[in-house]
Amino acid sequence: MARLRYDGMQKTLHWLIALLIVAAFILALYLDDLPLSPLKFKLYSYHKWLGISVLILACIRLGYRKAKGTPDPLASQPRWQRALAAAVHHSLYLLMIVLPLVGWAMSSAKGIPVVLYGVLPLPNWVPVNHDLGETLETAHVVLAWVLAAVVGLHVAGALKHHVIDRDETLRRMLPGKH
Amino acid sequence: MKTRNVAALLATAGLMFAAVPALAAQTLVPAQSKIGFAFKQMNVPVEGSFKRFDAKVDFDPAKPEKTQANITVDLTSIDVGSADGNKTTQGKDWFNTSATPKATFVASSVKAVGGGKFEAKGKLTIKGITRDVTATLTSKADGANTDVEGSFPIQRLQFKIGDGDWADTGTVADEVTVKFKLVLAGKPG
Repeated sequence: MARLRYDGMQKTLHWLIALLIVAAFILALYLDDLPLSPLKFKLYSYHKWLGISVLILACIRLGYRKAKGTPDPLASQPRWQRALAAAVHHSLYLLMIVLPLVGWAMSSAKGIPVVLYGVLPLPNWVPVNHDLGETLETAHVVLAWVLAAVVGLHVAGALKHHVIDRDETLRRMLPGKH
Repeated sequence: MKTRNVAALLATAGLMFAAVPALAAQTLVPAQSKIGFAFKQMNVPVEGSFKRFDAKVDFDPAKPEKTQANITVDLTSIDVGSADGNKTTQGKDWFNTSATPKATFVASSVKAVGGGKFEAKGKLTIKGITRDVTATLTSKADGANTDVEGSFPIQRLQFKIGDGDWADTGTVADEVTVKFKLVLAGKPG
């Protein structure tokens, strides 16, 4: 029989990643206008650590998902809504991987490599190059806004199920056993 | 009167031209030379460089103790990799280039320390503050030129580089490694 709920590990990863993404996003918005200062250097590093943490957790999550599967969408949903939900989920996974990778590459290209948590230097997989850095920065910003839009759709969908349809969809990802 | 002035001027210019080779028979090849620096911010290794500098150097690997070196760096030519960073480092807390646009290094003694290495002591002046520094360097013949390559550590706060909020060494480390490669054309005099 198919599972009805996400398990504890899946819930933990989901909400932890959600928290890290929101924190990284807000930090980036705040950073952007900040004049160059020691604070800005610190926040830049924190933003990078959050992003790489998302990348690592997203990989773990994908592996876990492959091994354990996920509950099926509720059968009551129209076909187009199930297709939209699947598209949103796939985009979220793709962006959780691609957005940090582009940020990492951007750091390398700008000559300020990522040292994860201040202790683990990550390898540079693109050369230091000013123009490449600018291009990757644009890509990173555009993808971040795409992610924000997709997260918006994801949240709207969850709330629609919870408030309008009053079904189990959101509760399956909430803590607790109900 | 006028003619005499011009003649005097020409004579002075002639003397100056004559004097330069006597001080340094070698000339710097700026396009192949580099002066840069490396440091850590948030434990991340980063590098930068200066695009404009001049060096009057006379260096003979066979007679290192006769070395003369007088290096001037145009601090406004800094490149730390971003326009924002380049602007910030010209500011009062950093190099304060409107008051002190140049850094200078004057060698006081150079000796061979074996293994093809040399140790150069000298005085480095940045922001009006002069400190003794000791560089380790190597030299090799590069066609008709001589390449002199080396580095020395400095503590940026000793020169008040990155003062104020920037004095926090937890963000930008105190230790900075200055790296140089000077390509010298011509024979030492």
